[in-house]
Amino acid sequence: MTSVTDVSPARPAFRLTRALQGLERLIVPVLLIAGWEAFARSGMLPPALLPAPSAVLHALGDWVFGFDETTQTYSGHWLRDALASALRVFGGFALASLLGILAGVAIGWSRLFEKTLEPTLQMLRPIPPVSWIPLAIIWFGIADKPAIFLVFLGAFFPVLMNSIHGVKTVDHNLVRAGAMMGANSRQMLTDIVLPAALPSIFAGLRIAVGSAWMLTVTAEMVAVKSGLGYVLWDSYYFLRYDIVLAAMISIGLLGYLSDLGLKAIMARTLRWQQTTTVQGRAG
Amino acid sequence: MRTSLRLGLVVMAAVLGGSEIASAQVPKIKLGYAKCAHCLPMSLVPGLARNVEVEATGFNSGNDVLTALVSKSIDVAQVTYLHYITALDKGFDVVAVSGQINGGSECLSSAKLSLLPEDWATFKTTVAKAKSDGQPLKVAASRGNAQDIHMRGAFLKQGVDPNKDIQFINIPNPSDHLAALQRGEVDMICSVEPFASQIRLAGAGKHFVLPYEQAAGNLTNLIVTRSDVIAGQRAGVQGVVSAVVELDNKLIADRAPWIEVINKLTGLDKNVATEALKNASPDPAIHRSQTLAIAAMMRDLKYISKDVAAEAEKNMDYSFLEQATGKSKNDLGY
Repeated sequence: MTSVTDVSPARPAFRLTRALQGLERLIVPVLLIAGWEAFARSGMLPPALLPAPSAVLHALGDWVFGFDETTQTYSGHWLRDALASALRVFGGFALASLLGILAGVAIGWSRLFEKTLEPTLQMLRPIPPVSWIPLAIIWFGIADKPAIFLVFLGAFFPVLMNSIHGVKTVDHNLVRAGAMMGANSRQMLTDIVLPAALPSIFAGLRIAVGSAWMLTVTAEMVAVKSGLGYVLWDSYYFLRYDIVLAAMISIGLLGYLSDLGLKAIMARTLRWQQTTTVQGRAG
Repeated sequence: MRTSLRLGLVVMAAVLGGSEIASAQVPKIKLGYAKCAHCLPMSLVPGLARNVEVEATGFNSGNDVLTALVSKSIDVAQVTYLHYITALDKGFDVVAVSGQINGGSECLSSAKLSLLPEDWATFKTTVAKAKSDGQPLKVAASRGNAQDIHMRGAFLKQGVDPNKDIQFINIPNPSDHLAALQRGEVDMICSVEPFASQIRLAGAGKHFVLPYEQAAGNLTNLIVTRSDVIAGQRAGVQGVVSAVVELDNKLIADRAPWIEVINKLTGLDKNVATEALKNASPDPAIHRSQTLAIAAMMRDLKYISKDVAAEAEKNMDYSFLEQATGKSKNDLGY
């Protein structure tokens, strides 16, 4: 009998299994798209109200490549819009990651920070980012700055909460062992607590990058001239639901790619973890 | 005693049964309107409607109202003339049955421009100088709304090309206009009431012009429905249109209920509401030639993809207005 660990990547049976696993992932999306196409073509709703996937793909194609100008002023501008959104997302996400990790580790590590900082942050956490728009404009004006601020707000709290959780739940045996070895506070924090909290911090970063992409639509309501969220709102104003859906797909795709990137960084950073998890053993 | 009790029960049953039959005969119309100073009086329509039961719902924007109409969630909608043209461009079944209230656009300049009201000559000089200095004047509006079209038309008529001579800034939400002007992010805002009045009263901007001198005039709001609603609920649509006409007549005579409704539904100060209504004209007529001008402007601006002049004209049904007002369609904007 062959165990999972005995299967070599070079063997045909293994390649066949991987190919079948790849196909499994496609079953639900293919069924969904086929159902959507069939419903859209059934004539139960006007095509302009529910564009078929083929029409959305056409709009997306013209938005990306500009082949027939059916997306009017957006034709051929997808890359510019995607880059504009990505810059806002990664600007806000980077800021949120930095401050979220710093504040989270500080709160998790120090009673003083926990008492002074946490109540205020926890009070701010439930406020929906969209409600910050008026203040964002008053503080940062129009264009990119308020958009980055809104993305930051959406991404900050997941990083913060997971960082606090990561630090607070570090195995006490590790801390005790560090103390027995004579580690001082700084060494304890940088060499023991932080590495041990990294899986939780990365989980927070992955949630945050998704929130950051979600916030692009809200953030780009505020007087920006480009971006996937901006195109989505503007298209809605002119009832271009095909472009609205194309923008949604674009945001979803870029969000997925961002998560894949983060997972790759996580896999490299947390190599030691792969041998201790169920997935690590299986893989 | 028993006889009188039986008699009472019979009478009660007859009354209840009769009222059920009567209520079954009264058409029911779901009406949608946006939450703006000019649109909010629509919330008074259910109280004025006769022989029709109107359920009125406020939406955050005209787009939401139009989407609800074309997806058949509501039967009659208050939208702008631009929404009407946009809907026709997308092939949606919308029929204009009445006007409602026009006006509501105002261009306000920042203090640093030092512009006097209606001083187009100084404005044009300022625009030309800013352009030659390489820093074109920043003029903001919400792209694709009535104020955007009014501003573009008025500027073009004065020889200022909004696409070349100025830097157009799109601020989609009019409630963000005040902060943008106050912070000096833009030099001029073409906003909608009551935000324009708020900007003026807050001292963030000065009145420059009401941009109505162009082909689209001051058209703003329109009442639209679908042809299937007209076919199935003609009496209901008639009831709504008659109520809108009555509402407009009341608002022309006395603006107090209008100020009340703005105050009640938005929480806006009554002074702001009073100011806002100085730039509003109740008008149930459907203005055909200006509507066609709006369609042409929207096509020139690439806001729509095709010429919808024929559809725009064909989908104007004056019959409801004619019945409600007793006037001919030639007197109602045709």
